[in-house]
Amino acid sequence: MREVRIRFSKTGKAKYISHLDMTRCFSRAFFRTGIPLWFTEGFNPRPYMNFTMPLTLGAESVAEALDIRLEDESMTDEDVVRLLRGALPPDIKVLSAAAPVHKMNAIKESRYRFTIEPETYGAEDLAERLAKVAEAEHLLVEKSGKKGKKKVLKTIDLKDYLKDFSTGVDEEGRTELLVTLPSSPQFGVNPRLFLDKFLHEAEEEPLRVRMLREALFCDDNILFE
Amino acid sequence: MDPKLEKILPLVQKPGRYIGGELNSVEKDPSSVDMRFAFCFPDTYEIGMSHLGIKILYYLINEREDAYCERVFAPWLDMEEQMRKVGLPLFTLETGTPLSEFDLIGFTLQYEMSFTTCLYMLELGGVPIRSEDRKGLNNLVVGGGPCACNPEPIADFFDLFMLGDGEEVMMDLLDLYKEYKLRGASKEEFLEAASHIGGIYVPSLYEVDYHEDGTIASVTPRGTAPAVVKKRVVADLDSVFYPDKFLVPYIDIVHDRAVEEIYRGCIRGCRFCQAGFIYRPIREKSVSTINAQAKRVCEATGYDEISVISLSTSDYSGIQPLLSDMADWTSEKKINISLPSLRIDTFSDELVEKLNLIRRSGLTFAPEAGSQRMRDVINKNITEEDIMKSVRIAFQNGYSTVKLYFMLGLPYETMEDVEAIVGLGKQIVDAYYQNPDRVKGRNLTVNISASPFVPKPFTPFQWEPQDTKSSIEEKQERLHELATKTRLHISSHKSDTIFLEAAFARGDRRLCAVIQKAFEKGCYFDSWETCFDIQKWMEAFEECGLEPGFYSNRRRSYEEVLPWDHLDNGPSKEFLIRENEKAKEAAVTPHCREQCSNCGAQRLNGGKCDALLKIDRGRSAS
Repeated sequence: MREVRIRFSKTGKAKYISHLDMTRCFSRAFFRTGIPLWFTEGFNPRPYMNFTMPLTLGAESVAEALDIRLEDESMTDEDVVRLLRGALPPDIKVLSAAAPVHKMNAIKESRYRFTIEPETYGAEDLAERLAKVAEAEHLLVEKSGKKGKKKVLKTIDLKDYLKDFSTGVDEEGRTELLVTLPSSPQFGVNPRLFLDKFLHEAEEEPLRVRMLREALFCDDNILFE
Repeated sequence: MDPKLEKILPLVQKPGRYIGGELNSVEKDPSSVDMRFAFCFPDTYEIGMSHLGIKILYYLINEREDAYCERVFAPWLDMEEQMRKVGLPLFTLETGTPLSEFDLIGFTLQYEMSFTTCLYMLELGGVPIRSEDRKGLNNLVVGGGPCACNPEPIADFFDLFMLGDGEEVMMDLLDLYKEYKLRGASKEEFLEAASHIGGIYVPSLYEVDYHEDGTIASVTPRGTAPAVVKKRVVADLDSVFYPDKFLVPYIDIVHDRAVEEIYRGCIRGCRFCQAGFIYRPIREKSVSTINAQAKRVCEATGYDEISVISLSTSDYSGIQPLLSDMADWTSEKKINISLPSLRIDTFSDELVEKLNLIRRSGLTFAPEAGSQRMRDVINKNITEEDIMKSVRIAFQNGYSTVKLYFMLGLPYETMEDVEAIVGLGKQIVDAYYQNPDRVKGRNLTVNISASPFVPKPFTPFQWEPQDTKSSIEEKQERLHELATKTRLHISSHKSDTIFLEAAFARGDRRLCAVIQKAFEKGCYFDSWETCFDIQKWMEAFEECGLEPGFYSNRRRSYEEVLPWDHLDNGPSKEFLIRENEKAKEAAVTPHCREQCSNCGAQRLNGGKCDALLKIDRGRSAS
């Protein structure tokens, strides 16, 4: 048995596919390829698959990861990539397969790129307004969380989570906002919550926004591999 | 993707319903085809995507280079609200094109309570709902499926219906449409020509006259339309098109598995069952075709479950060799075979053994009626002994959940017959605890579902009144009163929908006005408890001067002209009368392999019926 980490992107229409549905989608793709997955032991054996932290529904990503275990060790990483590429829907693309370097739960942060087509303001104007928003003393938002088993609303201050924050205009003349947000099983900041707050404060209701997870980091800015 | 769509998707539940792009969906350049076909299922994505017919016809039409078939499902209420807010018309999943831009718009009519949802989809797609308001040849609205066997209550909304098996008639329809479209012909010219294709019914070419009492005086064809439209029958299931791949949805749907059809028709002749009559004559697929198709579909989809389907799976003449052949590759790949529609009297040790090769779930049987007399009335042809033998086999093999389906309000039913349902349930509970080999500590659950009976056209009970609401309620109460055993769970259908279902099933054209009025009052998704509003429906009936009881609770005479008499769906009226008369005597009719009862359906298949073939084979062998 051999552990393999598959990195993949989830873009376009696939951004509307929930985490649970992704699991099913991959398990069927593996089935079609005939890649010999290791099954969990127990009453109802299932193929072992371990995904990264769920991506917010509606967000795209080029940094997703999935760990599998191969029953047949002679199968190479290249085989896995080639077979799986032919079996996944077009908007889910396999980027690489390799032995894991870090543990899944070592992930601490996600790097997001928001691309915004403004309705009210010019792209540069909006970039400045968003930068201004970040200068406020507090940026309080309500975040749903859990206290024991109970669901509760917690207030957090986004001012505390502005790591590597910047705004600008991209080559196609759209407003951009970049930020690195916490995303570990213990604590995460939802990118939609973040963006909505900034857009609300900047008084903009854009025509279109794109949320893209660009990279995953462990502690000390180490790229997750 | 349309920016309006992208804007509203984050605001709705399950956006995965509205995006398309599933594995094995078909991409074509719409400008490269002569005909664009929007295949509509009048219910949610999860239900529509579970339907086999849509998959067959989707791939069949898309085999043609001159046509592009795309899918449309009914958006749920939250999506509808958002779509109306931003002005987004109902669109196809493949290319996001509004419904109004399609040449043909096809609906599959699986249940009567989806009729208003068809209107909802047309309206949301910017298509006039009435046939007469769609002047050109574009936006031709067509329908097929079981409810097309009596489509009179929706005759004003559809341009034509396809009766019977869809595979061949659909191709004929598209050939004709292409010819007339390219020639720039009018809709009227086209419809008259279409009425000459076997299996196509153009309701606007028939004039219906009524007696004072509301019954039909006559149905007269106009021009060259045939006096009687015969349903289409695919003669050979081994050579007819079957897709080698299935759409694999991202989101969870109701039946999320591969499906393989093994035969059409049914040999049983249960007198309440419309499907058992309208899909006759029997046509079987060969074991080798089924096995090859099933394997291909599993490979193309990655499904780990395949359902082998028909009206009564264990009646397939090759069921044992089929299961052995399939087990050869399914068990190795950890694929689960599911066998719905097992008859209780054919449940055997061998069959259980085959099922045990794979995963084990609960068992479901349908005795349909509690007393032997009642089972004879409906010609179910199973005895109490059959039932008890089967449940004992099931218990010996470790099953501890049994679900039993019954009907309430069957013709000629008495309270004693109803009470017998609980009696049977109690016997089953006792049989479980009498089994010395049962797993200690594991308790039995017997779920009894008792649904009110709805008489349907083309069955021996098509003349019979539906039981009244008060009588059904009385019977339901009696069931709950009697079911005191703790292992016995009774669920009974409480909704008013079945009374309307009964009206539409045997309705005439005058109901079109009621359906339109109810739709205008906001009725659609009527099969969803949360959406159904009996009050609005009753208002609609009243405003149209009609009574639902006229259709549901009235006994018809054999002489009365029935709204569907000009449509031939197989069984002859003489046969149905014979069967109804036997029902009154609680006399049974043997199944088709034992003895052909001359139902008449084989006429539509050049005199061929696979049940008859089996009789001949049996004779020549002996």
